[in-house]
Amino acid sequence: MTLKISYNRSLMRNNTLALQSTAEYFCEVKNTTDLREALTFARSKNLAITVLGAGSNVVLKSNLFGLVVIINFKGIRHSIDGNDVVLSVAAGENWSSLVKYALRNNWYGIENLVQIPGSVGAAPIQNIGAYGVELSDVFVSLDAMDIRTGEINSLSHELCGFGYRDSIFKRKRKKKYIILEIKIKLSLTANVQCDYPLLSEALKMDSQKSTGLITPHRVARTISDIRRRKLPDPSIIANVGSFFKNPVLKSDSVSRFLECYPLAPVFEINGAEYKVAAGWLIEKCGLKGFRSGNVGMSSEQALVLVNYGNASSRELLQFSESVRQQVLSVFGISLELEPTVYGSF
Amino acid sequence: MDLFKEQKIPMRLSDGRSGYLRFWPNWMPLKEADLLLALAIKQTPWRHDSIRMMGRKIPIPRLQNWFGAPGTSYTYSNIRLEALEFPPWMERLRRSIEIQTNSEFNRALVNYYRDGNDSVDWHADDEASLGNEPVIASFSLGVERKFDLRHNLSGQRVSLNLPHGSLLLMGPGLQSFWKHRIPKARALSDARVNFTFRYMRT
Repeated sequence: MTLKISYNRSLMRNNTLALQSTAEYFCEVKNTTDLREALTFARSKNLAITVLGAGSNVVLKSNLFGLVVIINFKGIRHSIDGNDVVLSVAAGENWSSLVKYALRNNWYGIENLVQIPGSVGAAPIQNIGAYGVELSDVFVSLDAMDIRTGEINSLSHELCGFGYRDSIFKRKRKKKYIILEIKIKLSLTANVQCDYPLLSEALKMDSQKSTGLITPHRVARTISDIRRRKLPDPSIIANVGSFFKNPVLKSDSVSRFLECYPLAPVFEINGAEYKVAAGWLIEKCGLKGFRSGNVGMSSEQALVLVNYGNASSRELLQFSESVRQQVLSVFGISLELEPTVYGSF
Repeated sequence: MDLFKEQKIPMRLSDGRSGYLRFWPNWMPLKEADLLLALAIKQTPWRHDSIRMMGRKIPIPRLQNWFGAPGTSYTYSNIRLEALEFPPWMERLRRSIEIQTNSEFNRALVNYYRDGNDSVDWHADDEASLGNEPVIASFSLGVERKFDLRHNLSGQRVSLNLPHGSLLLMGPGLQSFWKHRIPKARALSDARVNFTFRYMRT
């Protein structure tokens, strides 16, 4: 046994909401040998397994019973075929660093996803997306370990069942797999995606300084600036970015909604589904900047819930539930939490 | 003077009303413009069209093609051009120019002036399909050519040189009150490619 497994380990530094939480058993794994060892350990003690990445999209309750595994696989490989660059990226790599690495090499396609916190392995789970691009646009396949059997399976794009901030790893394959590596296809040719309204407005402002073709580097710089302006830095004030998903409405309910609120920001996902800006709903309920005890909705970005101090997970979830109830009673729209909640009080 | 900056040139329209040209002489960095010029010449399926004049077919003194959403066509002086779909590199150019000028464009006429013998005579981009007072963005690559404008009523002339990588926006009303041309420049042996982006409702 080379793997170090600790007991009663604090997870405060493993979640960007900085919640006090304790793992019954804890280990960090760097390769498949470590991971198999961890799974064998869990099986021998009949422990539940919780997999964490960067902890930037989770709410951890006080106690996580069983074994908490941090996936710390590293490495990026690439192959170039004509205009395509296929990257195989280990799950423990940092997503935003990957975007910057790709840009430095002039590999394009994920520049709109710059500055999204979290690990590469977490990216497919909720099909991360921003400013008109989502992971599924460049995704090829992934390798994942079957928790029960320890086998490594390759899952194609189709098998991952991507949807809006959604995949099978959130639905029927929840807790079946541990993602080890993802494969994405980027391009040597810049093909910028700048139709997202907030982005094109920001690029118009920027065009007073920079001219010429809009480059992926310029898109990335502009988006980084927007994100820095809108989202509090978790190293300064604890948060997980957007706390609620933008609710998805069918076309008939969206037209009814727009009749009542013609100025609401609504974006088409496909012909039949639309997303409504959850931040706008929260703001219209007067909850932007609203604080109760140690928890509040950010005053810069209504969608971001922040932990001002030593909030407990119970306090935080009670607060978010009251925000949810308020939006439900005003708009009749039920918000869903974006982060995943783990553990028990 | 900051060469990279935008110049705004007021242009008289009718009495009491004025329009403008917006001009970015160095809109695109030269290296990028060199690459794009080579790409444009190589990848555009150039057509040499003719116009009918007094019963005779006369070839126009330049090559051209027409881009837009699939299935769209463009007619002027009885030449009918079926639009080709924007290739990705031109689509990126279109979006970049839209963002720079805060305007919308969905079609582009691309002209290839092979040398100084190629030209375009006095005309305005005022076909009915362009709607009332269209805004036209003209992006130039290759050898610098003179661009003349002439006021329809007063005959007033304005001339600009359009360098490699420059962007010119002709504002609303310009096409109704001014005509423009690229005169021949027989001493020049180098090529120029010009993109005029416009917006059509259909």
